[in-house]
Amino acid sequence: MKPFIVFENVDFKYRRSNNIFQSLVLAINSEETTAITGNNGSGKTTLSKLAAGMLHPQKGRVVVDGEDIKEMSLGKLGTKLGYVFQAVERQLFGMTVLDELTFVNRLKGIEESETYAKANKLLEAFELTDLRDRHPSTLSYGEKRRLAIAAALMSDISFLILDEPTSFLDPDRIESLSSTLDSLKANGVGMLIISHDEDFVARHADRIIRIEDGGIVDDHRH
Amino acid sequence: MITGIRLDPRTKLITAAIFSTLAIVHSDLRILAIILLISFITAISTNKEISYLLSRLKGLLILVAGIAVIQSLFTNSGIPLLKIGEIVILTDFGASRGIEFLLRMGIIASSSLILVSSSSREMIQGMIKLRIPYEIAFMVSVGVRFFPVFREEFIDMTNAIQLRGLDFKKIGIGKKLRAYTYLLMPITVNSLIKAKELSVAMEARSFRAYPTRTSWVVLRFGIIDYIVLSMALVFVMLIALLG
Repeated sequence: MKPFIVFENVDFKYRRSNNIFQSLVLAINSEETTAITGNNGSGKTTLSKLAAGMLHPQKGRVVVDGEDIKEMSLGKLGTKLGYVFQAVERQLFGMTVLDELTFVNRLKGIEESETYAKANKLLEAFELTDLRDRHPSTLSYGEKRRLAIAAALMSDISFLILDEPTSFLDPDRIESLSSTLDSLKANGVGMLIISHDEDFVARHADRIIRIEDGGIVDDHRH
Repeated sequence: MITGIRLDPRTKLITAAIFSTLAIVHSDLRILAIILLISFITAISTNKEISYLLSRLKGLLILVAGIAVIQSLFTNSGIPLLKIGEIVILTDFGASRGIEFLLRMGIIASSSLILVSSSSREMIQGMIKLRIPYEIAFMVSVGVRFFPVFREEFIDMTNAIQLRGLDFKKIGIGKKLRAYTYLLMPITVNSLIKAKELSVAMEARSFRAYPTRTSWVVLRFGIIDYIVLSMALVFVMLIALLG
């Protein structure tokens, strides 16, 4: 299997904190779903932000699809992977659901017909067609999360990072999200799921990594 | 250099107010330079992490320097110092106005560095002891307390919009401005939601239920506070004599 995200001897610490990661070595493959689990404060979200180029290690390097993320802009990284925040409202910017899916392509100057065809396809796939004219802030949390995933997929990515995807969701919404992830997996989208929801992780992950105190304490295939 | 001197928040508030007021009242460059030097020494003495704080202010300092340069170039009166053909680029008056602005902003930045060496709770208590109404002191503290939260949110949002594959370096200024307008909406909505939640939480905890409040933060003036305030008073008199 091809490693997509590689942590090479990564040291990372926040200011005024002890090392969160020390000499972290980890390879995450593109064709499977990897889950990172661990207690609160164990560094799960930090690891995901390092993988997405939002944080940079003090030592070592993070390589995504063969390129050091220090050499890449976030914009370029965003063509390789998508990121869904735990606080999903931090990544919804559009005035309507449809606008949310299309505005980045309009800013990039991509052909409108191509953009809207793709957006309509995603609206249908993510059961958002009836909500296309609604303001994103009026959606339920589950709908917002589906919208954020659909928006990330607008830029032809093959890998998705999801930070605590089940937080704030009731069992029905978790089931709906699970179906979405199943169809993404069937379409060859690799995923890194950050979660402490053991049932959800057991259902989706091919590989489960547990981190504690900045180190990997368990790494097994499921 | 002595750093990390613990001063009472009232001493910090008074010295910061003195430096900022002097910066506005005076326009003589030599006097402003002296005030900047003294205020910066005070800021270094009261902060353990001055180099980190200065690095955080780097962007603001560059902006201030840029404004000072623009102000110098767009002031036409005075003796020309730099000309291209018949076009006056820089005059002595323009240069002096630019330096004056730079020194003033430096003094205000130094004054704020003095204030950030105390916790927001200590600052509130300091303001209350200086007879500033609790509501105003609390509002100031909430502003300071929530600034890092808004900053983190703003960073996450700019990261999120770029991670959609939007390379800010590759799009023109017009499109970049349009991208920033998209950022405004969630920032405004989230701020309003936070403000509303905070007000509900405060009501639930009986904010302003009683006219007087007690506090577990007890402030005491030490010898160092009397020394610093006396020095500040002497400094004000010296500046008044020089001015």
